[in-house]
Amino acid sequence: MGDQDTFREVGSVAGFASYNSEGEIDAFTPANHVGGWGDILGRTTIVCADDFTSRGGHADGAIGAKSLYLDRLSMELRVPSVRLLDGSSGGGSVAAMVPQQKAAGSSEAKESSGAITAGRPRVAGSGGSFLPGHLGSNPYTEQLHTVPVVNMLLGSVVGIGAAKAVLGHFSVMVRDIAQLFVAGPPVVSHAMGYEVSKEDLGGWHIHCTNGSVDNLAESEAEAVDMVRQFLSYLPPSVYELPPAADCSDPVNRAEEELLTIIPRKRTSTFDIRRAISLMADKDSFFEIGPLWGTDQVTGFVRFNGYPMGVIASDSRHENGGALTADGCDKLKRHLDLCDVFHIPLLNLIDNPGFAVGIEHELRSTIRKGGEWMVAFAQLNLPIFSVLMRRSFGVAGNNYATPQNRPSVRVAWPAADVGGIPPEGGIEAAYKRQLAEAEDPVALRAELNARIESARGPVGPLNKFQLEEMIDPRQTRQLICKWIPLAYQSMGHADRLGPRALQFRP
Amino acid sequence: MTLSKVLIANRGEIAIRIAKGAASAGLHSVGVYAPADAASAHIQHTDEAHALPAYPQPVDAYLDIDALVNLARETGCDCIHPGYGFLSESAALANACTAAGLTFIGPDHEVLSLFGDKVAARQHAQSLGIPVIPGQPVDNEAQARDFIAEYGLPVMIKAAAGGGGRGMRAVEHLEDLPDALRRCQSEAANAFGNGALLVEKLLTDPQHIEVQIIGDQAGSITHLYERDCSIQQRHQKVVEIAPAPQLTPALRQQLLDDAVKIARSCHYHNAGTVEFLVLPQTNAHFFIECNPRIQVEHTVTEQIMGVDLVASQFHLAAGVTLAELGLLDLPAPTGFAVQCRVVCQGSGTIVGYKEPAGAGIRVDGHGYAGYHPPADFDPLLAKLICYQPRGSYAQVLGQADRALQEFHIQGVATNIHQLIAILSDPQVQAGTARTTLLETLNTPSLAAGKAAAMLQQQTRTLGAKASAASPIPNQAGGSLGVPDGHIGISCPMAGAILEICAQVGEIVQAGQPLLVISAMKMETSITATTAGTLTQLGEYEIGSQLAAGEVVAVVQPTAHAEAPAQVDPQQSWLPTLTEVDTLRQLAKARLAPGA
Repeated sequence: MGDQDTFREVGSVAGFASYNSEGEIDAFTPANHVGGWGDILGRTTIVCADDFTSRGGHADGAIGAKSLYLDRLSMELRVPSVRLLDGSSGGGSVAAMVPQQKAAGSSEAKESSGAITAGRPRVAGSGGSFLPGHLGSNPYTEQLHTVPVVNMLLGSVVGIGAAKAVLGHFSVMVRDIAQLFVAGPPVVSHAMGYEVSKEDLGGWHIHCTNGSVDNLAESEAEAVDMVRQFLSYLPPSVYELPPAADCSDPVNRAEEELLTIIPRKRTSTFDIRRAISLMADKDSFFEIGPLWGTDQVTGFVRFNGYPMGVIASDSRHENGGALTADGCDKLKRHLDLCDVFHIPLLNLIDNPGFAVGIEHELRSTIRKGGEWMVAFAQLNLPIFSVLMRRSFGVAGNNYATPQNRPSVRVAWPAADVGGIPPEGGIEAAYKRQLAEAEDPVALRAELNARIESARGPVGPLNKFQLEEMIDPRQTRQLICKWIPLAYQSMGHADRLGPRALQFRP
Repeated sequence: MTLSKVLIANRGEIAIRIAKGAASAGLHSVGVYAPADAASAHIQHTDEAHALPAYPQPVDAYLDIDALVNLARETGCDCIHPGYGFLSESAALANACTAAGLTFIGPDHEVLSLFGDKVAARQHAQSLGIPVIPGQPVDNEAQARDFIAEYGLPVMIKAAAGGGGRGMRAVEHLEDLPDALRRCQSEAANAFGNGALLVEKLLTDPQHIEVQIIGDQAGSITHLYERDCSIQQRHQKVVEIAPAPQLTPALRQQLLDDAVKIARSCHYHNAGTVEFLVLPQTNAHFFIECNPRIQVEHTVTEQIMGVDLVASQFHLAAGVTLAELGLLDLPAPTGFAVQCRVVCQGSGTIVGYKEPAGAGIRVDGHGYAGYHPPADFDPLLAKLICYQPRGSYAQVLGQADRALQEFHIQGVATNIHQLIAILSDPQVQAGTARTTLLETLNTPSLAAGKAAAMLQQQTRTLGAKASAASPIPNQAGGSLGVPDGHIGISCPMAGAILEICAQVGEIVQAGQPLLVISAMKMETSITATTAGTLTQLGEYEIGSQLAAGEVVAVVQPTAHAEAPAQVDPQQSWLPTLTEVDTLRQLAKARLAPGA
């Protein structure tokens, strides 16, 4: 994961040694948490890894101060931290409670002192209950609004390891190798009375679809690539701006396809990911959370080499991109991430409103929607909005106008805005007329035609409800022109640095 | 005697079933519920419903005999139906009913006592010359070891009181014996308040066949044929079939005769079940127990026999005879019925719920959207019963498979995918499943089902490009085969076909629409991803349903793919751009020098 030959281990001989009566080393087991720092893309990064082969990564095979030291060092150095999680990552094991059995004939009556024998970590502990040495969650909180924290799930991640996995800005798990759960199958069997495999309990199909883990990698190598790519968009800490990359993609590249990517027929869907890729620097689109909250799309892109966050709705989702509870959560998480690390936002609008119906009411979609609305309003970021097509309902309109302070917004000719979509609104607004009409079908058609002729962006442009319409092919050029300005304003002292709101993962 | 009002001392689906049976027998019903269980649907199906006292363990409310009997009297009931589980085999409840002048819907308390004690029941069967599995009560490890020395391993340790798979453990290795004894004892003590244990020889790969019996108070007894309940997971029945699909006529007759014999010997009245283990290889059969109550799987017998067993229970308890009910000498069944038990696996709120329906489909369940099944009770959510009065066993299995596919439960994980896998097992399809089947059957777990759903979602949202790289094999049903060198085009989302825009053999351009599908009033074009010859297109009609991820067309790419066709300006947004440009020109002209 690191650049070639840059890793330096810290605490390389922390571990459990025992000596024979001559004072020579009898045996040695290193602590089951390995860490240090190295370079990723030429920038110093703290890296820690759990060693599952020793006590399943449990605390009784660890030296707790070591992992804490490294987490805190990342804050001191103001550099990103990457955790390679496997096992309980320093969590507890009941084995530590059990007094060590004395061999027959053993003269001492007292329980195990926890001494290390034959170089093995103490399995028996000191015996008895113990209150885990949890320092409160402040160190994590501090870290999360100071430096990028990335978690890689590379095995069964459980207990405190599971908590670490979600206390980050980006996480990735490897298919078939990694699982995440609060407690594993034996505990579930005991508590809940059913047998379940690790994969069924906490495989990717659960945690990449519920948002506990952001991305799924097919292999460990792919997970590493994702981590490197994720970090490439982020600054080393909140005290700096995200790093601009060299850009070989012409800033005035105008893609013909953008003129037709949204079909004329209003009820047609289109490929939002394709649209993003056509506009952004070539191959710069990195999607985060593609398997959960799938009505919305979140990720990073570059324009003229400058990183930007991007959010959009997916009209190809089964409910047409309407905002679900999970979609709200996903957007909120991404907006907060961009805000903490000062990454300007590309806001692509094609949203028909909140998802409707019993299923969505049951999931308190509107409450999640409220959280998303507040998160959006709280952004202290330059925002570039493109009203690509639909803006209906509270959700669509909040997408279109998330804040009351001015930001740059352009409309595409397909822009289609309103309180509710006219198709449904006709029935409500003309209920009486339709009921009394001799030929309701003809009346409905006539109403539709009248509304259709007045529909589109020109009215709102005339009223200055929309500021400008552009040729979709010019979008890239405009953003590339705007982005250095955005970075300049983002770099001012009143905006750079830690955000008062901190970061809730 | 006539009965007019019943208190149903149960919850969930069986309480609903009893309320319906009571109504059809002309009785009013009173439902009860633990305060923690007030959202259970059963109380919507009774004529009135009352809360039971609150207990730290909500289950205990349904075991409170005093409260139930008092409530029955206060609400003017003249009988109590215990359902299955809870107090269904409680002689104490039967006695309390008698003392309170209430009718207990079930056999006499002597019968309940006899069959509630497995040791006594065994001895009773033996005394009638009915074969039983070698076994004996066991108080300590030494006795168990002696038994094993005589009969060999494996053996089964089980609670003398009880059933339902609790307090039961198989011992295959001697070193597991002490632990099995200890755990069975504590489970038995916890579950049944009685830690007494039995040790039994464990038969190798038996089938579990049980006979439904029914008797009146005048002494008439008959059977309603048998059920094959061999498909079990950890001693819990999962799929039940009636009649047993593979049973020699002689053995079937033997089982039916023995069941009636044992029922007659103790003057059994009302409904009950006599359970046997059968070794098809030797045609040997062994009595295991008698359940003096309505059973979870009574439904399959109802369907093949055309009898409402629950309503009959009320009539029989009121003194009506089998002859009067027309239940004597019923013709042998000509069709099959199968029941699949749908259970929750984990907790959550049901956010989507739709039961399958249609000819030959019955669902006895208590799920609904918005329900959070409490973890305190049995996880059974619904029983799907499929039946063919004159169909074959294979037909009814196919029907059950389709109905399971149609069963939509969202928000709570269920075993539906495991049930589908079980139905497709060759042994199940042959009707020869043994009780050990599910220990060896590699059921695609919940994960595989979820994965399939995931795949659909992924293909839906990521489009064709990602689905091509999707590492899970495409599980969508009607996918076309894609020959080497050809490119399959998959449907990005589930939907109905609105338009078919191309024909096989046609030369297509990249981006050219092949089909248009509609979902949630939105239309999506499925386009050729490359230029070439359309070599296959699914045989669809307008309105055909497509699944997400289904490969719907196959294109053989041309060697040198041409550039995409020119865009029709009418299909672009140029007119709107032009309109706005015109406005801009006018504005500019107004502000031009000299204007």
